[in-house]
Amino acid sequence: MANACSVRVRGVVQGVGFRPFVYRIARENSLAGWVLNAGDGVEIHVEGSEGSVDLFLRELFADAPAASSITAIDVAPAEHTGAQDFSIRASPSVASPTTRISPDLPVCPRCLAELADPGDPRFGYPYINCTDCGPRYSIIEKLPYDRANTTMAAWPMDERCAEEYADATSRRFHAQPIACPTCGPHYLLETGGEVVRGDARAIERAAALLRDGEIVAIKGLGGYHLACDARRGSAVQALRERKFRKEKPFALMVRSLEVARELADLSPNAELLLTSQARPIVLARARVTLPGVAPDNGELGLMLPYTPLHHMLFSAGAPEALVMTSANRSSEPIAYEDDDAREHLTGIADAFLVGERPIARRVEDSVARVGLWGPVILRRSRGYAPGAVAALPTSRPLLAVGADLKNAITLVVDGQAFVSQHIGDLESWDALRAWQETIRDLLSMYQVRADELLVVHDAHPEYRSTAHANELGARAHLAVQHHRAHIASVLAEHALLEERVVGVSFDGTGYGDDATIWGGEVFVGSVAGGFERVAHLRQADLVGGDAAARHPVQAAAGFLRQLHVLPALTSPPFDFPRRFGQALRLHESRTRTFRTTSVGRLFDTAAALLGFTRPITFEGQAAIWLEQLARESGPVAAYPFPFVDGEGERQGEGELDFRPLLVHVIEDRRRGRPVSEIARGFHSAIAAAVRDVAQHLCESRDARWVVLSGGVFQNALLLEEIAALFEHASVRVLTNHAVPPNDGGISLGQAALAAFAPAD
Amino acid sequence: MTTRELFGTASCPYTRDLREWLEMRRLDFTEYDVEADAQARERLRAIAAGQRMVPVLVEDGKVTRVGWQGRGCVVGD
Repeated sequence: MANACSVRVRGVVQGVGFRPFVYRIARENSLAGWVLNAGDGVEIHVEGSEGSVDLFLRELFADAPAASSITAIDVAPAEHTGAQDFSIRASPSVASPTTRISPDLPVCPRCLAELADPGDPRFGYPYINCTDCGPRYSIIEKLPYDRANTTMAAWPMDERCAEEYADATSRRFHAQPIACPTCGPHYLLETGGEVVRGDARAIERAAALLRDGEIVAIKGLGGYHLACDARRGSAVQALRERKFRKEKPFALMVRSLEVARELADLSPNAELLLTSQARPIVLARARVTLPGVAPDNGELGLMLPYTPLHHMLFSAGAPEALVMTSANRSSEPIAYEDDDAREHLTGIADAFLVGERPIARRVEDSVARVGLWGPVILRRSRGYAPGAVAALPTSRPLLAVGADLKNAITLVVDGQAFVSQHIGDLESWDALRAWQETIRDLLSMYQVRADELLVVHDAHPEYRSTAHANELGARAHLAVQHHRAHIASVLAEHALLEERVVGVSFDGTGYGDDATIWGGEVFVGSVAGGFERVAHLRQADLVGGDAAARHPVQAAAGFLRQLHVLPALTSPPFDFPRRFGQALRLHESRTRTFRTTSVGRLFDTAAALLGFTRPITFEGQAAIWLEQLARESGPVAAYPFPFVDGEGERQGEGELDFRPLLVHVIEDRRRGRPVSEIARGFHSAIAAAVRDVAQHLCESRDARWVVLSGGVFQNALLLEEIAALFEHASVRVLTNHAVPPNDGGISLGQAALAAFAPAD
Repeated sequence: MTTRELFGTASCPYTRDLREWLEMRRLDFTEYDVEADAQARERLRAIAAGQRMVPVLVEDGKVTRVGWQGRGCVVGD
């Protein structure tokens, strides 16, 4: 009997030899029809005898190319077309909305050579670019990507640029931001009441000011930076004071890879990351101490120059290591509009190096580090955004609005998940406005109407993102729990949407199913089928709500209250400040006290017990301090941190009991064991617990992968310890690479979980 | 004896899943459709800090479960 069907295969199926494979098995089974690459996967039409079609489908499932990763195969009956043979067809041109928008690119070697060549028409021109390099996302106003739709629209090309633009043999053929000193925008320097014009003169003057220890606001690709000489402590200190930034490390831009090597230990992979197309800020072990740059921190964040302007600044004699920090007051989004920058930065910057080309949207520098399983992106922005990071099996447009901290949003169009640049913490009004702008921006770019959207937000009813998501006028809304979104973000990246895994999500805070504050959660399940919570950190109390996250001793109060005996901690060696006693009294009165399973707060507790008894000045500071402390010690035995699986009535409610762990930390501190060793033993305990939970649950629940995500897994030492424990295990570890393990990855996970929601 | 209330909607698949889970465990509960019943909707928001996500399981006046395995529908005004 004759049969015809259409097959749609999704997942990683393009660029992996999938169509030739389909062609081969179709021909072997004497089937007619075709295969083609579609927007969201591969489309196949086959017709022939029923038995042959069945055999074809079986082989399609079983023998797919190794590099492919199928997330879904949909088979539907189809009309006979009378096709005579089987062919690979050209892909239909998809209407513009799913066009990929390129991230911004660093200046290429050929443009750099021209920039430095006195005989070249673009010698010393800070806006030099070509089709291999230059701005993209940060200048695009709308699609399609044509000059008229960019912030270069105001500068008509002169004859020479127009010729190159039209010349198919030129590397500036259809280079939309093409410009030269005759027809394009320029830089100028403003200092005091003085304006210095002329690109070279303005840049030379800026370099001189930097040499003199001044602070210069510099307009870059996706916003303004504040720059000063990183080796001049007084300048760095002045910048901290003016920016109201107490201790959070500053990033550095260094003249060359050689300078980077002098400042930090760079592995070959770190150098690859540093010189990669995204040119992120790379975190690496410091070799030198630069006063004020990264207080109490053994790492430095380094990046290389990525615009022609940056290269010109260094050539003009700017100090070879510059602090280059986002121009804003602490925790506000980076300034990118000229008037706004002047208004916000007056009183911070001594001078402004301003370029005339407008910035279409703010895009901050990305931050990454080399991890054991590949690069770890801590802040995903310039150079990465708005690239698609995953294919999701949904045809309806979907907007996932992320969490309230380290926010980024994800728009899914035709099954492609586009993750926005880092937006920031929505607590500030400016960031909230930036979040709203980014939503409008992405929707208009991809021509998606709000009323077509499925909007996905966090389950937390009091998140700002939740409240505002409900005002978007979407067709439907879905809420997704925070920690499952973390796990789903990893699986979406790896195209393992149907895979049953054990997911370990450790972070500071997220709204749980039981309306308490979660942060130490273990799940079993898949993105497609949902995740069941099967274990968690033993519950403790969060005294005083969010304030506990800013005061490690206050977090400690809620955890230490769980011990059978509360030790005396206000005397040496602990010396807890008065706030601890106040927190205990607050706890007794049960005022603003919430139940929590937060591993982030457990790290804070350990940090407090080992000496970090002051308030933190940026998120994660106490945990970072603890990690740095632990690095001063060699490996030590892990403290006990037992995992007890639930039995009988409590089936599916396994618990990680932190009490023995804290008792040992307290005892060793009292005995006078070096605090670095105690910190190391604490890290080992967390790592061992992850191993115990993963092994036990993978066995009992039949899973092969353990997925780690959440802010706690930014801790490189913890990951090293975990990796060592899993080296010979049959269970394999999956972590984030394309999006951050912190809340910057939440929107991707929300989108992935929503992609499987039944259509309404 | 625990008083158990399920707040959900008729069309929400996650409400259905949680309902089936309760039934499978032979647990008694009273179900409210917060889309059809404005009073129930108000009560849910009072108990659960403005929560608009369903299903929500309330036991003895306390929220014990929001959503089903991490997903839930959002109820409008």
